[in-house]
Amino acid sequence: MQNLLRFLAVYYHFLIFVVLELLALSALVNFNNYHQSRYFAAVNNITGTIYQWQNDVTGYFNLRSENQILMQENLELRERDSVLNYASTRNDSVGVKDTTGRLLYSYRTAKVINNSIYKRRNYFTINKGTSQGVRRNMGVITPDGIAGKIVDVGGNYALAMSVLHEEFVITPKIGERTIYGGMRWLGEDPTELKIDKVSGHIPLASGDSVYTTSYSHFFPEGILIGTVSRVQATNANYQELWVELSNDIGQLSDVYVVENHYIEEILELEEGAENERD
Amino acid sequence: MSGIRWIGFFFTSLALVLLQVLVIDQIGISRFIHPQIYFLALLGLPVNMKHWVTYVVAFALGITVDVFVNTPGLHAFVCTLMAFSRYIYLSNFADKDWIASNVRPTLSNTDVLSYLLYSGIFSLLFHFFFFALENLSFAHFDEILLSTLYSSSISVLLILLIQFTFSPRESNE
Repeated sequence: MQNLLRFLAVYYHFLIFVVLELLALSALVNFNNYHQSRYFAAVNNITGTIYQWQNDVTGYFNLRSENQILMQENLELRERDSVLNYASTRNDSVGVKDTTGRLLYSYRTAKVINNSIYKRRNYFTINKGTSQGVRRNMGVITPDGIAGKIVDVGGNYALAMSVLHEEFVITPKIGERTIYGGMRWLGEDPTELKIDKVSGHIPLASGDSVYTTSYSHFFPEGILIGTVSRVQATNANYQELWVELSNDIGQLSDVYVVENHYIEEILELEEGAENERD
Repeated sequence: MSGIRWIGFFFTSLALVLLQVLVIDQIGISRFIHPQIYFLALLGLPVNMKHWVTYVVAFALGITVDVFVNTPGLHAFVCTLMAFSRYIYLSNFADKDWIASNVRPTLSNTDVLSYLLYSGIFSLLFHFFFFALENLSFAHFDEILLSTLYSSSISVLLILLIQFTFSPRESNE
């Protein structure tokens, strides 16, 4: 015991160092791997407010281009009569019904207040949270295409996993043909996604538009993802496919949060099926 | 450090952290360039401050940055490690006059060359540990080295700039 005390008296500096490092390391491992849930909810109100202040100032810088995008989108919406016929306008959200009259998707507007594209796992923060009805597993899109999905929600802010995240996988379609294999970001060029193994018999050409399918529960079917930029045959059976994103993720500002009203039911069913298999 | 000094340190650190997360982190030049400058607050701590105090200060500083950039533990870990290496550096390699005179290692208190060496070493160390830990593997070792090299060179430039601009010449206590 005395030896222990003497040891502590001599080395307590070093022990404090080790304890602090262990603390930091456990935080690192516990909170960072995936969605940092509890942590984000606890601090987002403070940092979110500060980022909001910053955004209040920097938001003015791209008003001109934002305006142009809005004008363009208004025009497109006007032209798409069929969509307007099915749209019901509520207070601040617009819903799209499916053919039997069920409300499938609702949209909310939000503003991106913090964003990154140069990490391996990129997230962005939006200024809507549970108080505004934003929940986990909602998609985030812009007029230009898909942007990400909500992984964490606080009172007034939410954290979205960006398309530029190594765990963000999406099944796309080209024309009417669904492309299997899982499209994901490689962690390098922030304008490009890639599908590793596409069956060799599918005819693909650069310039083809790539859209979301009904398989991805976070986005409505037919939202633009990007265009095929390169196709390369790896062997007789497979080809590789690069897709240039239509969205400039680095410039995200005004976004729509897409709510799939049946997402919980769908995920529950799929989870049930998976558990059964195990 | 006296009470006034602590308050001064608190506000300096806060300003550096805000500069880091609101300005520097928002500039995306390349994926290899993420200069960190807020650890300048650690470099300026008095030389003969009890080193366990510097660990705690470093940990707190790192956690503050972590809160902003959503990486709980990452900056805290690297900052604490930095404080520890600073203690090793000061007690073994640094100019003995610094320690004797309780000087704060700032540009105005030393000559440019030894400050360049001091900030350069810690900039390299900081960025290396930062990128290695951020990746949590050495699978992209070449990228870690490149990022370290680019980011720390820019960070040293920024640190010198800040020091030239804001650091008042003070008498040694």
